Amino acid sequence: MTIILFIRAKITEIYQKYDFVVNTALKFVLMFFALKKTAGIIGYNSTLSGTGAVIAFALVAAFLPTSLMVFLAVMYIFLQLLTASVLIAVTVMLVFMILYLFFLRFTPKEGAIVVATPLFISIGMPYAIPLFLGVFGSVLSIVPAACGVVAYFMLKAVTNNIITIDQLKALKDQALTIYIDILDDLLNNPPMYVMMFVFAVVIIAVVLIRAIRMDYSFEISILVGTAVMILAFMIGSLIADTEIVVITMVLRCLICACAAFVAMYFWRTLDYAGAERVQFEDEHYYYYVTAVPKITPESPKRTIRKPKPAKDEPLSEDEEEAEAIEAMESMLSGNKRPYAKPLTPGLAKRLRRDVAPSRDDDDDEEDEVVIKGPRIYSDPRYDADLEDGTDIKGPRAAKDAKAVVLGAVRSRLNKIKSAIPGMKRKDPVEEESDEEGKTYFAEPEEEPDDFAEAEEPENRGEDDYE
Amino acid sequence: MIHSKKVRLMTQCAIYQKHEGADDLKVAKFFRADYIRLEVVKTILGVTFGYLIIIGMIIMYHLEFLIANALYLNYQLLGLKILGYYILILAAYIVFAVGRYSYLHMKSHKRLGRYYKMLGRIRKCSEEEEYARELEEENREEMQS
Repeated sequence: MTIILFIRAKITEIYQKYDFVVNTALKFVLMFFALKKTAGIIGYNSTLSGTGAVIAFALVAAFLPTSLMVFLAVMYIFLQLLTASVLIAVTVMLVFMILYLFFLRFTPKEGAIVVATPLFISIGMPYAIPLFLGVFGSVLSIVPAACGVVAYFMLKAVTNNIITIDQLKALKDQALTIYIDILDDLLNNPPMYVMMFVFAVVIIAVVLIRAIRMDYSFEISILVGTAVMILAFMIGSLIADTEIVVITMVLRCLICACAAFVAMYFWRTLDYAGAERVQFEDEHYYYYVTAVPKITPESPKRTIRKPKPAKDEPLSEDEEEAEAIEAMESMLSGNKRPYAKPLTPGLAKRLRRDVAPSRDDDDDEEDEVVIKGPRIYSDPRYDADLEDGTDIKGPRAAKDAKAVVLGAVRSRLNKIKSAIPGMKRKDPVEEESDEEGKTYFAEPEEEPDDFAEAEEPENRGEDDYE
Repeated sequence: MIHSKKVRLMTQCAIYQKHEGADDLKVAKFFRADYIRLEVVKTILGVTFGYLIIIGMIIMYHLEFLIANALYLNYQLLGLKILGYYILILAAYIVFAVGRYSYLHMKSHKRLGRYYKMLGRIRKCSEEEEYARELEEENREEMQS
């Protein structure tokens, strides 16, 4: 799930950066394939059917508003048919005009649907159209979808009646007959009506269900829409007396449903994700603002882990010292956790060595104090190093370790101070013994922020080093 | 100094203007009744033109029959039928257009209300800014004097 969210966040990020480029590219791709498919169906003009001409048309369409995409597609069809027959070209143009005047003028911004519908029908995926329109559109999307269906079947009717230009030229006197045949094919076409009806039913079902205020309404609407579509196509094929391969139809419906799921998943962030670039002015400034919407899912943070040394491999002297210093600083800074990182065997050893560094040193009386380190963890690996393993576990272990380290630091400080001439030497840290004779350093009641303040508050100001 | 709240409001206004605002401001030029009337007139023209195209195509479709029976046709009945269908279709479209454009006008009116509120807040911010600037200038003059 995290990976999917991450991918979605990445796609959103890319879309935010290049929303204009992405939208233009999508329009170009849609128009290119739609025109290429149209050229495959009614490619009477070899120049216009060429890839160069199709790319040119698609490029122009990509930079135009979606409402003008239909106009451009209709012009392309008109020019193609003009090569074959003026009457048929005009007829097709008039049919498109009727569609526009009666229906499409109420949904001018959904021109892309009219272009996409014939394309999807011709590649055998008409099932995607109602599902997508139901999820992303409104009930009014039925109108452009139905117009797209009419456009597809009209082109099909034209190709059914004109096979080649030569045939058409041979039938030049019978242009009216061809016109009548085309209209007959178009109007007496039960599959067309079935498809329009199914599209309408599915779009209404999906829109109604997704509008219900309940959890997973979008997902349920897609599932119900798919089921309704399968049933409606089966009933429609019975009524219209057309043959359909049920298994293929069901499989394609399911693929389209999966595609709708994926698209819906991305659309929920992509819909408002486009960054807005606006410019305006007031009395004092010109503003060029890029407003980027926030992304909710956070991309996982990458952490770099340094390889730890093998257990058998001993730490170097510098590493041990660095770890010990870090642990001490962590405790002295009042960190609730006794150690900044887990106590490793090397670190534990180092701490104990710091605590009792000069057992053999007989010159300094105070340093002869043998501090027996408590057993921090009850791991048998550490037992071997301990002279007198004190079985202390849990928070007490941490507390004792802290006291031990504090004592070690203080004794070292005192040693340093005594070495510096003119600096007053502090009293050694008071020791106390418990009932069993184990020796510990007394822990101050409150954690001091400053050593000098905690130990000798009356000497504050007298100490030179402060 | 840039007034961050004002910039935010102005950005929101600019985004609105860029999208729905353009259409809404066109709608706002008219009173509700005038807007609906205009759209209904456009619809009537569109439907009439489309209907004429359909009639023309039907005539083309039945051209042979019409030529063959030109002398025997009941033109009065035919005309009435054509007119009847036209009125029916037109009535349906007018009802649809009235409903649709009333709804669109209401929606755009709501959005514009919010937009004008934001403009009012921007004006307030500007006034505050101006007042602060004047105060600053006065203070500076006092300091200089």
